[in-house]
Amino acid sequence: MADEQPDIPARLRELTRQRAAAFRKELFPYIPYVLQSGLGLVAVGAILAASACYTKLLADPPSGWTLHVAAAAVLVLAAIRAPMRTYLLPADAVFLLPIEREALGAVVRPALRASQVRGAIRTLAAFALYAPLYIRSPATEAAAPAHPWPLLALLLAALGSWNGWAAWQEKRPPSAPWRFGLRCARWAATALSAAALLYRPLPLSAPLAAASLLAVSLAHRLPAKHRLPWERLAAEEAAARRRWYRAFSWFVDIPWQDTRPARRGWIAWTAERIPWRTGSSWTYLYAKTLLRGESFGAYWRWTAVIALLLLYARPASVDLALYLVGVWVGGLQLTELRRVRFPEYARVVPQNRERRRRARAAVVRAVGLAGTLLLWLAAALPAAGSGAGLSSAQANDAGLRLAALAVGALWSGWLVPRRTTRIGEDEADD
Amino acid sequence: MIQGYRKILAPSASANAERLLSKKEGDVPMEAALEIRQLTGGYSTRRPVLHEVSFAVRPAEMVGLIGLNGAGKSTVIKHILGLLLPHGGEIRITGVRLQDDPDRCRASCAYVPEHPSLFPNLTVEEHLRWTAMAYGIGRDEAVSRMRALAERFRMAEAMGALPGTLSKGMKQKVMLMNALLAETPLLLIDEPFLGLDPLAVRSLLEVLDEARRKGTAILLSSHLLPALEKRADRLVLLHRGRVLAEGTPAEVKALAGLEAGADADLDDAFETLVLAAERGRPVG
Repeated sequence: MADEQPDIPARLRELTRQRAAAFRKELFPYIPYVLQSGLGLVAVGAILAASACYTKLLADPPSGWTLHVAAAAVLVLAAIRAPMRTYLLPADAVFLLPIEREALGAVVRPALRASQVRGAIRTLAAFALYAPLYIRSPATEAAAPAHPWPLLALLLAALGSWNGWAAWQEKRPPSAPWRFGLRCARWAATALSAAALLYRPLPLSAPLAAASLLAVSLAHRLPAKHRLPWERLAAEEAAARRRWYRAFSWFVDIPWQDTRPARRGWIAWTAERIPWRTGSSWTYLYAKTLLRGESFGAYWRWTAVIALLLLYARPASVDLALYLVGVWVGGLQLTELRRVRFPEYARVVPQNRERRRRARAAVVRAVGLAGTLLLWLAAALPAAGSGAGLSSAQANDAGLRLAALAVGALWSGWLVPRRTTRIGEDEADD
Repeated sequence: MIQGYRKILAPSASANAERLLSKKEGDVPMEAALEIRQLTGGYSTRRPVLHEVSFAVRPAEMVGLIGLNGAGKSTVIKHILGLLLPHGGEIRITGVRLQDDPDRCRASCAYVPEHPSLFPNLTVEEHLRWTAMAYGIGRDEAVSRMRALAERFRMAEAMGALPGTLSKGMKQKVMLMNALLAETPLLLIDEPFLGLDPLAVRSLLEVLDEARRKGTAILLSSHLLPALEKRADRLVLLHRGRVLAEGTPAEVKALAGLEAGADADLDDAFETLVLAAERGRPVG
C-alpha cells in the first residue's frame, strides 16, 4: 500500500522544474531580438572598455584609498544580493498549504541551497577580480601577505553563502519593521566583515566577522516567523519575473506585466501641478502612473547612479560616453509607459482619446528632459568649477558638452516621446 | 416583448400581463434619459447575446435590470457604454444616438462596474480628482463633492490610500464615489452591492434615492431582489438575452400569477418566471 502513496516531494520538485522550464521557454524567444536591438553591440563595447580599464588599473594601481574602498563595496554588493527563485505562485498558498512541510523540503530547501551556492560564487568572482589589484595596490600590498589566499577566499565564500541563508530568514517574519531591521543588520554585518577580512589581520578580523554574523543570526530568532512565507515568496517571484520582462522591454515589445506601485511622495506631488481641466486628464493619469510605477523607480535609480559617477568621472571622453549611455538607457526605460494598460474604467469616462498619446508623450518628454538636464549638469559642473580661465582646449570641451546636451535633448525630448506615441496595448480598439 | 412571456404564462396570468403591459408597448417616452430600441448585440455577430432588447429609463427613475447569470445584463451595459457595438437596433442617451456622438453620450453617463477597476497608481483622492477633471467639474465644486462623498461612505481616512491597500468593499465604494461625483443625467450600476458592508449598502441606497430625487435616471443591475423590490420604479427581467418581463415590481409579480399583497415576494416571482421560461411551458 505504501507504494501507492504519491511521492509528494518528488511531485513538488517536478512542479518547480516545470515552472522554471516554462519561465525560460517564455523568455528565450525574446533574447535574439534583444541582442539584435543593439544591446549585444553595447554589451560587447562595455566589456571591452571595462577590460581596458581593468588592464590599465593592473598596470598602474592607484595609490589612494578610492580603489580599496570601491573594491570592498563591490564585494559587499556581490555578497548581499541573495535572490531565491522558488517559482511559487499566489495560488500555491491555497493549494499547497496542506503540504507545507513537504513544500519546505522540496521547494524552498533546494532554492535556498542554490541561492547560497550562487552567493558564494558571486562573492568569490568579485574577489577574484580584485585579488590582482589587492596584491599590487600600494594601499593594500602591505596587508596582502598576512592574508593566506585559500583561507581568505574560503571566508569570503562563507560570507556570500551566509547571506543567502540570512536573506531567507529575513523573509519569514510577518512584521515589516522586523524584516527591514534584519536586512539592515545583515548588510551592516556583511560590510563590516568584508572590510575587516580584507584589510585587518585575520586573527583579529575572522573572530570579529564570526561574532557579527552570529549576532545577526541570533537576532533572527527574536521575531515571530512563518514557517513558509507563501505570499512573500510568491510576491518576490512575481517581482523577479517583472524585472526580467522590464529589462527586456527596454529593447523589444513585450506584453505588459502587472507592476506594483510605490507611493513615492517626493516626486508624485509634481503631477498635482498639472492644470485642473478636462484636457489634462490623460496627462494627470499618465504622470501619476509613471511616477509611481516600477519603470520610473528604475529610471531614477539609474539616473542617480550615472549622475554620481559623472561627478567623479575623468577624462572628458569617459564623462561624455557615460552621459550618453545614461541618457540613452534612461530614455529606453521611459518608453515602457506605452505598455501601460489602463482598466476599463478609463475607456468609459468622457476623455478625448486623441489626446491620450499626446499626453503620454508629454509626460515622457518632461521626465526625460529633466533627467537629461540633471545628467548634463552632473557632467558639466565639476569641469566648469575646475577651470579659472577658458583655454582653447576648455572652449572645445565646452562646445562638446553643449553638443552633448543637444543630442540628449533630441533623444529625450523628441525621439523617445515619438516612440511612445505608437498605439498602446489597450488602444487598438479605441 | 409580450410574445416572450405569452408562450410561457398560464392563460389567467397571461391576460393579466397583457392588460398591464399593453399600455407600454411601443410607448418609449421622448424625454427618456436612456432609450434602447431593438438592440441586438454581444461579443460576436455569429452568436449574439442580446436579441431585440428594448426598454427605456426616464429621468428620476430607477430601473432594475435583473436576470440569471449570463442573461445579458452586463452586455446591455457594455453596449450602453459603447464598449460593444450593436449588431442591430439603437441606443440613445439623453436623446443623442450613441453611434452619432459617443463622446457626448459618455459625458452624460457614469458607470460603476461589477468588479472594481481602479488605477493601481492613483490614490482614492486622485481617482476622484481625475474623474472630476474628465467630466469638467471645477476644482472647488469637485472638492466639496469629494468631501461629502467621503463622509457619506466613511472613506475620509482612506482618501490617501492606494487601491492595493483597500479591501474589495472599499474599492467598490471608490467606484461608486467616482460615479456619483460626476452627477450625470444617467447612472449605470452593475451589481453594486457585492462586497459592501450593510452600512455601505444602506448609504448607497440613500445616495441613489437622493440622486433620483434630483432627476438622475438610474439603471441598476443586481441580484439583490428585495432591495430592488423596495426601491426600483420598474424592473426589466432579461432571460437568454431577451426581455422576458418589464414593469413595476407589482406588475412583474402579477405576471408571475402572484396576487398583490400576497405573501410572495419578488424572488418568488423571479423564480416562477425564469423557471417557466426555462421549461418553455405556462406558469401554474
